[in-house]
Parts: sequence; structure tokens; C-alpha cells
Amino acid sequence: MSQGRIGRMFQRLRQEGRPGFIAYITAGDPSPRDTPKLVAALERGGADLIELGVPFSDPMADGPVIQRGADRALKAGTTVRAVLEMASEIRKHSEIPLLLFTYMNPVLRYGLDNLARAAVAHGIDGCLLTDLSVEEADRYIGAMRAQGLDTVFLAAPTSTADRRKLVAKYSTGFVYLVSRTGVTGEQESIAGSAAELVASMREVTDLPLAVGFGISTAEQVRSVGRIADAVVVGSALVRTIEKNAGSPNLEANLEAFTRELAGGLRS
Amino acid sequence: MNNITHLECSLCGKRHTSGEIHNLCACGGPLLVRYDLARAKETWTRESLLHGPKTMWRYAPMLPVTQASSIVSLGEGMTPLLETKRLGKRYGARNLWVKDEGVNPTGSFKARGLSCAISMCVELGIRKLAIPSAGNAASAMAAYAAAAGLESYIFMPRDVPQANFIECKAFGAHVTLVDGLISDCGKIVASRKDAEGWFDVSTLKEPYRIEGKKTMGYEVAEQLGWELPDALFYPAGGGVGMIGMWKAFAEMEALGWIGPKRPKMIAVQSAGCQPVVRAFERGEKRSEFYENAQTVASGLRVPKPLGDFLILDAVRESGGTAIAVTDEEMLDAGIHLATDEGMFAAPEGGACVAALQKLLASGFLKADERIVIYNTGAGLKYLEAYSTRFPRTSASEQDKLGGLITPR
Repeated sequence: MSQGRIGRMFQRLRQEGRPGFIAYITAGDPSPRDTPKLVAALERGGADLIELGVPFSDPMADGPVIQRGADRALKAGTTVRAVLEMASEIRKHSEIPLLLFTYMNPVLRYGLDNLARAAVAHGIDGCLLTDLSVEEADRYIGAMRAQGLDTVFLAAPTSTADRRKLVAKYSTGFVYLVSRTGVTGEQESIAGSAAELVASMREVTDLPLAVGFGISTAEQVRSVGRIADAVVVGSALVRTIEKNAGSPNLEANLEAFTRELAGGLRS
Repeated sequence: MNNITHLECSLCGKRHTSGEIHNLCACGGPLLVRYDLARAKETWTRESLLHGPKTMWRYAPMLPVTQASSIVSLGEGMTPLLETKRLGKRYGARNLWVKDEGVNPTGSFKARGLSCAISMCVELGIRKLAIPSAGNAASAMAAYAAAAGLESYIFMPRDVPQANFIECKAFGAHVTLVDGLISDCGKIVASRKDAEGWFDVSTLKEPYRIEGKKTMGYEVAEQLGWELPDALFYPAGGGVGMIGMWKAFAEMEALGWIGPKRPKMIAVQSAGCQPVVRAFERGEKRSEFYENAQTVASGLRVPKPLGDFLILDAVRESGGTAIAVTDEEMLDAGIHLATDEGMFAAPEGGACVAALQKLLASGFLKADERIVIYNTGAGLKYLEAYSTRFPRTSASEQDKLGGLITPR
């Protein structure tokens, strides 16, 4: 069990007897100076953990909404270093768990060990690399563990039983279950395969299980919350940021929408 | 105005100079303030208290502040000691008293410690303070820092009572909510204080909060005509109130104000977090970290008190005991205290009433012993805990807000 912020957060959720709400936003969207304020709005709205997306020019796991968010962030000058600075800024006022959500390429360019050291120094709690398969993750896991960072891996409905075991073995903090195949993005109904995946993953691990991809309404959050330990919402939040970018109501509207989504997990 | 001579490590005995900024001793032990008791005995009498202020600062000759202008006071201390009318009968105690600390500024005994600590910050020129708190200490620090015009940084568990969160924000403190317990909050303060230039006001990690808290001991003696009770119930989270009172009793004896008699010191904890009770039962000098600590009495959710050895010493030397009660028992007892006496106590105070019931039933205490129970805070600060007993139907956040702003 992880002893860091992520582990303690899930421990609290167990005591409260409710599933958690995980919010994804792309760091630097619409601009680096907005991100710490948006994270504070998410926290006030009821987010339990923040996934900070590192914008990447070729985000192949992401759908159009998050791709546009990454474009805005990159145009605003967001680099890996800038994301770390945002994390430091967030840490001045918040202890909410922060998970870096990114791809292998930016990490390798920064240097694995360098990034792990810098991440801890800036208050990051763990990483999730969407395009790194667990079979090829030895060096990465070593570098992260050496700094006490959690490593979260993805499992999908298409993952084989062997893959699921490896994901369970090498994940710390929690396991991220992809509710369906395809890219990130909102959809009308959550595939029943999510429930099956939760059940098959539960057989191989006691780690908390978070379900994401395609969850965009309070009703969906509530229904996924019945089967999972945490529910991840990304695109719907990024779309709210997109709609309100430049508006003085950006933070208030993001907070209100988060409260609407997360509220159903607290009753 | 005061008689301070030096600070002394409670573990290794090393002397430290007063008038300087201190946290723990190099050995890790908490520092205690020492006074020239012989000189104080010559110059300070019980009778002179008649003209003293109606706050804990009436005991200033035994407090560490050297300049009266440094004192930051919101009227803390001199809380009522009430003789019970019906509660004693309910449990079979004929001489039962309650010291109501809930009437202090910010609604808890924490005001005493923070009034003293913040006054010392003013005296020593400290401007930025940080504190890990289970709730009420944060409220008190935020209030006294605001009164003194100092900057305060507060780290509290995310599920701290709403009253504490709102108070701290209203007092202008920088508040960070933490997934975890006060021990996790303490680690964050410890790791960041050097870089941020914060002074760590964690209880016992600075030497002066205990000095403020000890005035509860002076007061109970003064209010009972300089005779200590037979038994004293105190809810021990960090336990510093009890440690402070034990120190006050020794000081008062040296001043010639009381004799050698001490009350049986009874440390009360929650069944969900009882490190001191465990250590007491096993005959150990120190407690062990209590895993998965959980209780509605947020002030008792301290999994490893720094001053555990001092609490255990006081309990053992006095012939007292350490006892745990469940959340259910403390809320029931808290409601008994409210309905019988008109005093709405914190669950921590309820815990002491529940413990009393058990110790009377077991014969550890006799019906005619003079017993004082400390209620450390106001029940109004624990509405979440008590609302489980008195639920209302319309409970959504929106409804509450609507009801406040627009009567319907």
C-alpha cells in the first residue's frame, strides 16, 4: 500500500465509505498561470485527486477535446518544466494528490531519473504514462520507486489475464481502468465492459480501482461510483475550461460543474 | 513581571537559555519552562490574585512572557467551574464538578496555549507561524495570529469539523486540507518550515503552549479554595493540558499554595484512537503509533502523542488510570451533560463523562469523592458529530444555504 498522499487519500475514502472523484485537466490550459487556480477550483468542487496532463504534440490516447486542450497549453508555452513549476505553486496552498499524466516521449526527453527527482521536489505524487506497457516498464518503475513516486498503470477491457496481473503487480496508489477501447472523450453510455473489468481486476489486486474514459455526466459518475473506488472525469472538465477560457467566471463555473459531478458520490 | 530562569529538556535535562527562539531539544525532547520559584514565593501571594485580571494572565508571574506589552489576549481562561445538579445523581457521584473550557475564545481550551505561544512570538519577533492541527488548535492559532497581526499557515485533516475550517478562513489564515491525520500534517510542517521561514507551533515542539494550558491547573485550585479534587478527568489527545496541569500542581506546591495532595489523574481516550491507554495497560513508558485512528472527537485523534511519557508519568504517579470510551458512549454522555446541566459539551467532554460512569460502576471511584471533569470545548463546534443524533430531513447543502439567505 502506498504511504504517500495518494494512499492516504484512498484510506480516507474508505473511512468515509464513498468512492473518490478524480479530475483530469491539461496543465497549462488555457495558460500556465491559470492551472493552480483551476486546481483550487476543482478541490473546492470536491475533487479528491488531480491528474495533471502534460501537453504533448502527439497525444494518441486522447480524443479531440483533450487534444485541443494540449494545443492551447503548448501555444501558451507549456513545457515539462513549466508543469513542475505549476505543481510547486499548487503545493503552496494544497495537499491534494497530484498525478502526472503523460506519454513516454516527453519523459525520456527530460530524462527518467531527472524527472523523478524533479517531480518529487515539486510535490508530484505519482505518474501515469499512457503509452508505456507494463512489460517494458522496468527502468521507469525503478526510477519512480527510488524517489517514492507511485506508478499507476492502465488496464483495458482488451487486457489479457496475464497483463492484468502485471498491471496489478507494478501499480501503486491505484489502478486506472479504461472503461472501453478507443481514445479519451465523453460518450452517451458507459460500456458494461467496465463492470466486467472491475470484477476481473478485483480478483488480482486489493489496490483501489479507478474507472475513466467517457464519463461526462453526474448520472454516469454516480453509476460508475457504484462499481469502482474512484471515478475519473477528464474531457468534460477540459470542455468546460475551453468554453470558459478567458471568462472571469472560468474558476467559478469549473467549481460548480465539479460539484455537480462529484456531489453524487457523497450521498 | 515574571520569574523565568531557563528552559529544560524533559528527556535529557539539558538547560536552554530563555529569551531565544526554541523548538525541541537536540535530543528530540520537549522543552519545559523553569522559574525561580523561591523568588516568586517571596514576591507573589495567592491573595494578590484578587486584584488580577479575570483571564489566565492573572498567573503571569508563572508564565514566560517578560513584557506586558507582548501579551495577546482575547479574554481566555477563568472559565466557570460548575457544580453539577442532576448529572452526578444520574451516575451516583455526590461531589461532581465540570470545568467548562468551551466558553474560551474560539470555543476551546486551545485558546490558553495559543494566547501564550503567540504572545511569545510577539516577544521574540516571530512573524510567520505554521501549525498542524486536528481542528481547535488551528482555530485558536488563527484567531490569536489575527489579533497580533501575524501570518499563519494551517494544515488540518480534510475531514476536520466544518466550524474549524470556516473559522480559520475567516481569521485570514492560509489553510491547507490534508488527506491523513494530524501526524501527517505535522510531517508537512516539519518538511517545509525551513524553506518557508515558518515557526512550528506544534504542541510541545514549542515550549509555551503548555505554559498557557497549565493555567487550567492553577484555576481549578483557586476555584476550589486551594484544595485539589480527588480525581480529575481529562480527555487526552496530545495530552498537553494534563501535562501542563501536573506541572502547575508542582509549581503551586513549591509556592506554598497547596499541599502534596494530588488528584487521581484520569486520561480519557477514544476506543478508535487509544495509544496512551494501550501503553498504560502494558506498563510501557512510551506509546506506539495507533494505526487507523478514527473518532468523532477530532481532538482525540492523535495517534502518537509527543508527550506520551509525561502523560503516563502523571497518570501513574497520581494513582490515576487511562481509559477509552466509544464514540457512541461519548455522544450519549455528552447529551446527558447537556440535558442535565445545560452545558453543550464537545465529544471530548462527553468522553470524560462516559469514563466517569465506567469508573464509578467499577468501583475505581467512590460516590463521595470530589471529582472534576474537564470539558475542553464547545459542542457547537461539533455539529457534524451531534447531527447523527438529531438528523433533520432537508439536509442538502443547497437547502441549508437557501434557508439561511431566504427564509421559507
